[in-house]
Amino acid sequence: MKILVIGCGRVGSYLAELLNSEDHNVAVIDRDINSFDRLSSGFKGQCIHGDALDRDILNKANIQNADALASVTNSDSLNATIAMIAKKKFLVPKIAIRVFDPSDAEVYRKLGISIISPTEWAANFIRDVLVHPELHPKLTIGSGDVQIVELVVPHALVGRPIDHVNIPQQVRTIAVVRQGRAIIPYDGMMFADNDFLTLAVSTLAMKRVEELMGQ
Amino acid sequence: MYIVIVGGGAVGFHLTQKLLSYGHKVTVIEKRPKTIEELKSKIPEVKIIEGDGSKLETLRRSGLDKADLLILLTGVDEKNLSIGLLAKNEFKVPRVVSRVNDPNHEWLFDKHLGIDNAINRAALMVDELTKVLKSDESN
Repeated sequence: MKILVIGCGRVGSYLAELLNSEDHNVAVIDRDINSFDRLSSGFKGQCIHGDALDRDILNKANIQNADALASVTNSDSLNATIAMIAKKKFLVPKIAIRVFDPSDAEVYRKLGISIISPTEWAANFIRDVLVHPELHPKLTIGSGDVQIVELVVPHALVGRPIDHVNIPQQVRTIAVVRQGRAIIPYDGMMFADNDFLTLAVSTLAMKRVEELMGQ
Repeated sequence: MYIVIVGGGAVGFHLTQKLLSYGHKVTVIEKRPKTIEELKSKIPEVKIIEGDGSKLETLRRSGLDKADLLILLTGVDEKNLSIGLLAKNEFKVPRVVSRVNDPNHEWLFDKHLGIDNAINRAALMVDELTKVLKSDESN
């Protein structure tokens, strides 16, 4: 995929490296030329120094052909503006941005943009770690070697492929309840907010699942 | 008309004075304490909402849902644009007018991003100066 990353701070540079390591075609834009120092020598993507609101800069990054765009600068306003430019003017199919203020995040979500709100996410995640009840098996199979557990998807996993939590002979997601309908996961299915999961877990892997789920 | 202005600096101040004299109802959103003090002392009758105009909560406090016109005068283009988006999508403001700070950003200020009219001060000045120079040449 051809992916644009706007902002080469801690998150932007990490994301760019991650996508680069998965062989995506990455272009990073930042106003501060020094921010590119965060990228390793192994980074093969394009680094464009300049203002992401400038048409020439976006053209340089070849935004017309982008499959996806992430805007992770430290300004909510800038990220939202860039998202709308990408959506309305360049019809970029997939757009995700970071928004610090959770109350504003809701508005942008309504505009059809995927919003990552680290404030909300961290608070939810810490809450889960501190007060989530232990995983109680709903059913055990055989002499308890395999257990069926149910839980709400942790925020950390939302947007990631369901396949990521499956480990051969240890963990398998067997059903997902989404918007009141239970389904058996299909290939390439992603976790979504509020998914209710049923997992088959080998007893030996319970600890791993607890870790995975942020218990 | 009920008009909300974001940014109470020099342009915001003069504009507010004029709009009030025409009999419009005006609210100014401003976050800089010093600018707020100045506005209050110079135009005591104006309603001021203290806060960041790019935040939903501040816009709500200004009664933006009842505004006929929103004028965006902040010095940061992405603020003006993101406020325009909120104004059109959340508050259904019929008309949004914005200042363009950086001429390189002028292409963004259109209906796609919720702006009905854009005013690019740099371009206006260049036009005026060119006219002055032309009239000098012809004299």
